[in-house]
Amino acid sequence: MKVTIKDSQTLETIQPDIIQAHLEATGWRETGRIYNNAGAIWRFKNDPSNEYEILLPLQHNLGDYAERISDILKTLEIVEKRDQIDILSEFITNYSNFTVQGVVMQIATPETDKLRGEITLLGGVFEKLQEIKTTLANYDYILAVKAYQERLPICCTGDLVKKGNYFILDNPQNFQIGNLKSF
Amino acid sequence: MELWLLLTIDRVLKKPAATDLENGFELKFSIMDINQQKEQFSITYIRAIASVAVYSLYRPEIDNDSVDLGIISRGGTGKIISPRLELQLKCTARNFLEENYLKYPLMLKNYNDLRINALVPRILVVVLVPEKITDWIRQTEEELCLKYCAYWVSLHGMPDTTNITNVTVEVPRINQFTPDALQAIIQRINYGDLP
Repeated sequence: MKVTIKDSQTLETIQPDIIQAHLEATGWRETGRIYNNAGAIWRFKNDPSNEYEILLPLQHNLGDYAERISDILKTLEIVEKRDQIDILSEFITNYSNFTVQGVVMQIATPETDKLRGEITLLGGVFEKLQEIKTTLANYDYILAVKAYQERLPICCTGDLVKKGNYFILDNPQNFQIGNLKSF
Repeated sequence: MELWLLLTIDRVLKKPAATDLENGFELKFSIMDINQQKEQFSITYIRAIASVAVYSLYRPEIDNDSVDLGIISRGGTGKIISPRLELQLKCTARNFLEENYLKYPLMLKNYNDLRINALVPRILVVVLVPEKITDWIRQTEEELCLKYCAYWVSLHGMPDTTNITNVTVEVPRINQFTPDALQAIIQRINYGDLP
């Protein structure tokens, strides 16, 4: 099934430098800039008769930032023959106020002077299971231990930041046991 | 071309149901409201112009209320291979025509969305139609005439406003949205310029 990303809030979280790095790494070349460096033109030729073009927005305040990121996902979907969701999950590096649903994979020993410690979750980030680390304290930490021991699903909201091959959930709030549907 | 336009218009007006036929001609137009008819008619108008200018249309996938239609050209020879233009379409039967301008009261959100920077330039296109829907087209064996005329304007770089609902914009009557005008706009975009 083809999935098209239409959520402008999600599309606006994608940073141009992340896409630029991806294009450079996959054989695209920048051929010029338009509108006082508001955007860059990138091209890719996979055979002599077929050349693809991407308009990469370089300024977040552009009125069509989300639309142009959506165009890029559509073009890369064709060129790379993979889902937009798959490509999007590579491009997402931070996402504010994101709600993770998943399970607790690992509980670090709490700190010596307070009931607080690192928790590793396995949760869905744009349809892909990802490792997400966060730090919980007091009642939330105890809830996480219970969820871990009893293999219960959890959900938690925070600011998602990508670090290498895993994510960090900063400012975790509203940590709860159960799926979103059950609340 | 004529047949294709007719088919499109047929879809706009929609075929009446059997019961509508029994109740007479008037019900033929009751299926679609007047705003939907205006939207469909203006899209058809733009499609006719774009097809003569050898461009394709697309509908934006992200709904932002300020872009109704996109026009794309393939095989550009300038800076951009596939130059595009995005349109906010308005269709009105009210007489906003003055000597040199058409003065159109545009919703504030549309005004702001059209005046800011965008990588794919946006313009406002106002399609002026007769008041009576049955006058929107005139057809003979020789021609299919769509009435009256579409005008365009770029609001890029227009100033901020303290208005709270509408902004009356001036669309020059000289800016008729014709195949030649559209080609000139696309050509400018092709070279990295504004419409």
